[in-house]
This record gives sequence, C-alpha cells and structure tokens, in this order.
Amino acid sequence: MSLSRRFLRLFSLALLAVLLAGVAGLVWFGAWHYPALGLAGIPKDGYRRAMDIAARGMTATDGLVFEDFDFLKYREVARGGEAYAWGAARCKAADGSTTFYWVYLEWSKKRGQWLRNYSLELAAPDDEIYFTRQNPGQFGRARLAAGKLLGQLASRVREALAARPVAGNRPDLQSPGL
Amino acid sequence: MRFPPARETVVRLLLLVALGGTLYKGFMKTPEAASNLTPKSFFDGLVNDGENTAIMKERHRDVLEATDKAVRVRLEELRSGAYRPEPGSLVSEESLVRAIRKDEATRARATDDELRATEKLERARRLEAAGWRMGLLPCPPAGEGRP
Repeated sequence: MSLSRRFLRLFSLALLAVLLAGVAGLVWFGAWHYPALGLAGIPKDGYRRAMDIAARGMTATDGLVFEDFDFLKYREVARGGEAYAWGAARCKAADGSTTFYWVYLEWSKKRGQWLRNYSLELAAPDDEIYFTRQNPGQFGRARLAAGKLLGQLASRVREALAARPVAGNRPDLQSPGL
Repeated sequence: MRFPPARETVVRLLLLVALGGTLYKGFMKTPEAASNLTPKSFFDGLVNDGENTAIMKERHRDVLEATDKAVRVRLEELRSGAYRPEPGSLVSEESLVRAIRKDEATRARATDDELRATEKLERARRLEAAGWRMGLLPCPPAGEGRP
C-alpha cells in the first residue's frame, strides 16, 4: 500500500514537472526565442531588412511566395525609445491566388533589437470576418479558434526549425524590390 | 531599548519604512506633485504616452485597411475564378461582401480613434508649451480639458 502510494506521488510529481516544463517551453519560444529569430544585430533604422527577413520567413512556412510589401511603415516616438514597423506583404498562394500577410515588428529597448509581434494572414479562410450568428455554430467556432492558434504555433515552430541550419551562412539577406 | 531589538520591533520598523516608501512613490505619481516637482519627467511621460497611443491607433486603422484590400482582392479573384474556396469554406461571394461592410463599419470607428489620439498628443504638447502646472488649491470651474 505504501509502495503504491509512493509511486503515485512520484508519478504525479513527474507529471507536474513535465507540464510545467511544457508551459515554460511555450513561454520561452513564444515570448523570447521566436520573436527575435534572425533579427539580432539589425539597428533601429535597418527596419526594412528586419521586415523583409520576418515577412519572408513567416510567409514561406505557410506555403506562400512573398512578392513585395503592399505598404510598409516605420514610426518612432520623439521621446522615449519606442519604434514600430508594420506592413502588408503581398504573396502568391500555391493555387495562384493573391494573399496578404500582416507583418508587425516592435523595437525592444531591453534587448536592443527588432522583435516580431502580432502577425498573421489577412482575411484567411478561418477569419472571424466571415462569421454570421448561426454559421459556424458554437463548436465550429471553438474548432476554428483552436485550429488557428495551434496552426499558427505549428508554423512558427516550423519556421524556427527551418531557420536553424541556415543560421550559419544566411543566404538571402539582400532584399530585391525594396 | 534593548540593543538587539526584538524581532517584532524590527518587522514593525521595516513595515513602516515600506509604507512610507509606498506613500512617497504614490504621492510623486499624482499630477499635483509630478507637474510641480518634476515637470520634465511629467511632460516626457505625457507626450510619450500620447505618441505611442497615436502610433497604435494609426496601426489599428492600417490593419483594417489592409484587411479591406485583402478581402476585396479575394472577392475579385473569386469572381474571375483565380481563387476557388475549398468545399465547405466560409468564404463565398456573400460572406466577402458582408466582410467588406463590416470592415467599413469598424474602420469608421478606428478613424475616429486615430483623430482622438492625435488630439490627446496635441493637448500634451500644448500643456507643456504653456508651462502648465496642476493647481494645489481647488480650481474654479473652467471648460473641460482647458489648460
């Protein structure tokens, strides 16, 4: 009896540790690792290069071919050190249709580099903008929301994994058309 | 008083110090104290806040404009046959037309938000230029937002 109890205790502790490690890993990836990926060393006024790298990376993992920025903006405050860059990237999907991808970077004063922020495909087929009151229903909405979140996480992870081998030689940093 | 003071006395003293520090910090955050004692950092904060808000509101309008363009291009390509939604997709001619209308409505509000953010920034700059300080006495009634 005492043995099974000890086993149960150990098992639940191990489960808790795995769970905590998973949460910590997610936070590390989403808040620290991925936003900075490949953007280190680019100064504040190198925002075009940072936007180019970010846009190419996040569109390529979604199977889109980046063409050019439809528009690109840079804004900084006169007092305090905040700076922001955002724009819409025009891409071609695999079926030949046009897709726009929102890319948004923020300058991090703490880390002294550009960081990726809220970025996503605009008017994607699972966008809320197509919803009506009845369609999709409760479960459909939940399924779409979960699918969007997990799909985005998966594509971010794929991007991070794909960036790993080329991190040494960095083949396409030049930005044609910009 | 005994030299090694009792543990309770030490804890009480530390609590008092912490309370005093909190009171001081809170006091220095009030516009009465900050605008009179540290006007530079007060107006730096006010203008910085205004600038960041204005940039944020401009970005919010931009994302809606970019969404509008994405939806319109999708509708065009749906009509010309360049874009074919998957079976069971939420994307259709009707839902795209509806999306354009919804986006327009949201954008109307976002444009107004942007204007108000610009006004907020201008007001902060105006107050600073006028050397405004928060009055310490109850002020006579004046127009709302008048420096």
